[in-house]
Amino acid sequence: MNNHLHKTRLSIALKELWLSNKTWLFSLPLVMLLLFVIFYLWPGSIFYNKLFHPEMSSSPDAWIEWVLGESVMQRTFILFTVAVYVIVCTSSFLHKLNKSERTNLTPISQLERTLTLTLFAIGVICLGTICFIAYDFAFVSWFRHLYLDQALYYLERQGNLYPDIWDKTIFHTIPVRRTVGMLFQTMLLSLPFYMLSLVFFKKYSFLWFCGLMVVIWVMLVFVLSMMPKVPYDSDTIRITLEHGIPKVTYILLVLGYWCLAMATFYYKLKEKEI
Amino acid sequence: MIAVDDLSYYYKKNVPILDHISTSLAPGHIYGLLGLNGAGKTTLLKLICGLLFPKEGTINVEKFIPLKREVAFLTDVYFVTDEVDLPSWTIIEFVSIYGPLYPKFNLSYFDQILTAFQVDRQAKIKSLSYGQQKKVNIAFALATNTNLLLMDEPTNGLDIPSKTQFRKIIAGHMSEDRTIIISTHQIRDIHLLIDHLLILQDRHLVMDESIDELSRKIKFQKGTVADALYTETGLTGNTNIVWNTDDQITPFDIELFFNAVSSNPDVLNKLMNANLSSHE
Repeated sequence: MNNHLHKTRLSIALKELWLSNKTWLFSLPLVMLLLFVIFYLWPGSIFYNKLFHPEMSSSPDAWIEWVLGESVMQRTFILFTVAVYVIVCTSSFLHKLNKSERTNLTPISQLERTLTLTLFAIGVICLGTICFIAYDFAFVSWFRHLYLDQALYYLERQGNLYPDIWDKTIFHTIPVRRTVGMLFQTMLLSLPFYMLSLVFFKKYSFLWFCGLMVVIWVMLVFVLSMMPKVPYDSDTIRITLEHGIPKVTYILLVLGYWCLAMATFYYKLKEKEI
Repeated sequence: MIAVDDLSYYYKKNVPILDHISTSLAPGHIYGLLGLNGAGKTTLLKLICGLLFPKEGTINVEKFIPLKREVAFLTDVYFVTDEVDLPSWTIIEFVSIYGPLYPKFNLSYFDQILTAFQVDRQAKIKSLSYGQQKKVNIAFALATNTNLLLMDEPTNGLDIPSKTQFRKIIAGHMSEDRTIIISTHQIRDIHLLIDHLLILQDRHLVMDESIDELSRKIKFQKGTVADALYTETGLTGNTNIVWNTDDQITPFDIELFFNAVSSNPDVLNKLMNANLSSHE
């Protein structure tokens, strides 16, 4: 019998995770939608005032002016729901791997466990991110449909015939590559470290993970702030290697870290006494 | 065959739980693992199934080394723990997910045991009482048809009719190629099933003998006996353990025997001496 990877056992291990978390997974799109609604209707926000306190805007133009000047980038924080869901959906299973005799004696190899847990967590991250992008796109399209003409008309009346609407307003989606992609990457990078922390520490494992994350981020910020800065010079052209070596190095570093952390997780599972 | 060779285990280095234990357990027997609280019964079971790793010595189960937790080994071992740790699914979901992992899993046998235990297979596991969850776990354990079945306090939480059912099912389940090790304090629930005694005391395996052999050496007698190895006074008078000099076989009272061994070291010494002289 193949001791490492077996299709049936892999699918059973995935089903095990799915069955334990299906309610949570079904709730993810709904919770995210709810958070978007709450965000746009939060007291003091543009839509809250439009719907519940229309008297606060002296004229329709005043409201449009507010819309065009108000940044709604804070909705990016909704994406952190995904991280919360990853923790909620996987922590109980990771605790079982730490403590449960039945889980550890189930005929599923540690490699299959590692692989399915990783796939499942990546699946949750992807599901959450896709939901976020879809809702963001839907809301922005809706707002554009409702208010963009009004906004353009207002700007034209102001003499701005070639209006360039600020990209932080309700008429623009969150940049997928820059912002969403960065958070997606951060979650992916934190994943093996999180999994490792939860099987490595028997007690207060999540607190350990949070503490270590804070330390890592502080160190990262410190190291980045220590890096030499190119002084601004108006008559020089900066040539960077952004699209050459650094990207390759970055990918190699990330891959190296990922493989190392996952291998540690795998061997920790193998060597764990219950 | 389970071969335990010079096995030692400790959780803290200067507090040994098991100290240089050796034994070999052949298939076709139901082993009763007895010992006082903290004697290391659960630890020994965990070592046999590979949940704990020996600090010294080795354990081999057939051709497998349990600590490697190879899938082929795990498909042939099931450990019924004292605490029930089943997922919050329906029984049907539980069986349909985990059943296929055991090559010899028998669904109709599982249903049959559940019916005997009067548990509704449509029920959600978490809606069941502790005893009912335990029954589901026992039913599943038996239906896996693994050759090695380890049970830690299996009758804890079972109602009286279920204990009777449990005895019947285990008796029917036994075969030449299976090994069952039952660790329990409630020996009266299963004493008729056990055909080999393992007693852990002070970190050592002080008794490793079949009931047949023991019955040939000692017998149980009511009343007042002058040269009894051990006497226990109860509501119905004295019960004695005496040397079986006339080859009279009496029902083996495991509880009384365990009390004798654990409370009076002389009994054990005399039995050991008897073993040595019979070997000579």
